[in-house]
Amino acid sequence: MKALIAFSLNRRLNNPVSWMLFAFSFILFGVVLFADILLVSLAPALVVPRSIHMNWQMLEVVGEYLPANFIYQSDLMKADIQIQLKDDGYLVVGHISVEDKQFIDHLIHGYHRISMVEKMPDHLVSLLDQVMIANIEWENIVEEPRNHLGFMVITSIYFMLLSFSTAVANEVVNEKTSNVIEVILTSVSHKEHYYSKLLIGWFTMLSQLVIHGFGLIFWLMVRVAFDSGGGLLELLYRWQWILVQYQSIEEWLHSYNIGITEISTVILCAIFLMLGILLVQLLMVLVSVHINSIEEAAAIQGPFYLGMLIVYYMAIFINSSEQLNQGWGYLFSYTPILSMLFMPSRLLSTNVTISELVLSLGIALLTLIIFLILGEDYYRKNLLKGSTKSTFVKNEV
Amino acid sequence: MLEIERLTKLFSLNSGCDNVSLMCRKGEIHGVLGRNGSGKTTLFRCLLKLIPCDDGEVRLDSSMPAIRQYGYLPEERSVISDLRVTEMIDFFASLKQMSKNEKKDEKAVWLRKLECEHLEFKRLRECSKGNQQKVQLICSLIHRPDVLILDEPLTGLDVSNVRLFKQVIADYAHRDKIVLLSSHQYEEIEPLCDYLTVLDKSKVILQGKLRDIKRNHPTKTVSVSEDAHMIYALQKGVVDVRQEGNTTKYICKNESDALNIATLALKNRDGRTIKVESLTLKELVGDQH
Repeated sequence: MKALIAFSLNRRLNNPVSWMLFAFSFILFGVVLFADILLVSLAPALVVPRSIHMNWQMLEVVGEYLPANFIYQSDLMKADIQIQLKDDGYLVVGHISVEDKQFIDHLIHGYHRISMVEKMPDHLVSLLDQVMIANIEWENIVEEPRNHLGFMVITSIYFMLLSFSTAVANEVVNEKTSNVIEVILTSVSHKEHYYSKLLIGWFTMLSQLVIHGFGLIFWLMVRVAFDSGGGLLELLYRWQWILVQYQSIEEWLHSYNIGITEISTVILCAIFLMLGILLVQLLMVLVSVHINSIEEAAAIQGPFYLGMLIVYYMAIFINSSEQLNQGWGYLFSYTPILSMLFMPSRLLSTNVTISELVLSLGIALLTLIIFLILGEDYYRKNLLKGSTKSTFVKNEV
Repeated sequence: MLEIERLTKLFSLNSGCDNVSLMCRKGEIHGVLGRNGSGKTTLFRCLLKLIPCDDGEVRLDSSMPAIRQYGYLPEERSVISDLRVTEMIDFFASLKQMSKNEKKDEKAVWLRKLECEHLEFKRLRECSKGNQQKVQLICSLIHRPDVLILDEPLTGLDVSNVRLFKQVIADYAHRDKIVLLSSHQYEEIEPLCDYLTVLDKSKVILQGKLRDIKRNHPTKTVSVSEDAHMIYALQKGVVDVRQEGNTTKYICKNESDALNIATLALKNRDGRTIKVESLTLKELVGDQH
């Protein structure tokens, strides 16, 4: 079994395409983590803030609302964007994007209102307040943030699941169609072959995580040594990808207040993911054991992928706290295979009790064990079917 | 010694092996012959435990660890075409738990013996069918198994490679190893086999030492060269007449009938060559069917 796993891992990881991919990801991490420095020389327009000119009264009122991607320019002629008073209104000159136009529009409207209100007598101001400002009281309202994290987790799990289980399944197909399986089975038992296929998927995933993780950590350390990541965070703030300007990566990470609860949630999500991937991989291997030619592969594996796509869309649509706590999402968080998507979604967006977790985990684990045991015999019976010399095996009585 | 006792593995349509027993001693080459579907591959697969037997027993007297006792060359090409020859050999050697040094030494030996050292770093898809077969043979015997099972090893080989394979197989058996082989190229394996088991419809129909089988078989042949007119065809005891070029082969019921024809031919000074022979392996197997 050791030889099988080593051989398979070597074939997957030690080939020109994999090396190219590793080199690409390594370079990519470097580019991303040093994006601010690279962009200064390659596309300064994306990094350097746009200069904006306005009169001093306006600057006094709205200057503090200028976002990080704008910088005040006192010289009218040097400014990228100029806001001037014209007759009873305002004139804006410069090349501006749709987003910038919206922002400047809000800026001018805000300034205009404030300057008009300042000129009004007090009784009119209070009257205007009554007209403009409605008194609203909110009761029993729970703010539900848009669940970007859930979407990201579901999509990542889905693609990880498909890529790793497909790779393992294709390996079985290749060994069967090239008849190599017959020779391999003279050295390892069906059982060893079966379990090695499942382990190979896992080891591949872990190896790739380690290899790509090494690239990320390497560049992260270089960046921290360079300027603690301050430049990159400044760029992210300027692009409004983060809402607070941090001085270092360490400060940024601290802002998340990552505690035991968050770490436990991530670990639990990973456990559900592992169980789910293992189960799907197992099913893929059992499906693939029926494939006798490359042509058959698409026909037999196709419906399986379609089923997985349906599961993916279900997980995307059933994603609100309400659905996850009471509706279909709740039921699916206990259903094997589906729980690997729905339970992490619940963990990330709602509160899950320990008993619920244990129950879901127990069901997933039990299903995996049952499939492992039943699959072993099924695998043994079907593995040698379909080679040109095994016509008789097909007709076994 | 390898002993197979009453091995039975039946599939539907009465295919498979039915009550097959055979015994092979070290240093012997045992031919398992029969038509397509007679049960040869099933017998090999049962022996290798690739499929479970319904009944019967297999005993092998071997001091080797179980994983190294058997080597197998299947009938179909079974190579991982994108691998290099050396990688493929290393893989199968690793499966047999060979150490790095063992692998290196044995690989060099067998690549040299099978005259394919130049292929070591070639990808298998770039190798010819015959060369792929050589690599497969190396993979099956690199761990020097006690029992080497070769299913149609000569198929698809050219004349020189057939000769080379036969030489390698014979040398291997002579080192106190057992070789079990099946083939449809009876002429080629006849000089190679010591023992014979002929299967038909899952059952053993002929078994024994090839020399004894041939000697004990009553039917004999008389070949008379330059006998285009088949002048002895109507002689007593002639059961069949075959024309092979300018030579006529008379299949006779028994040895005395054959000798009568040979004497007649000598007396008449017909033909330059007159041979009285036992049946060839091909004729023997054909006769049994």
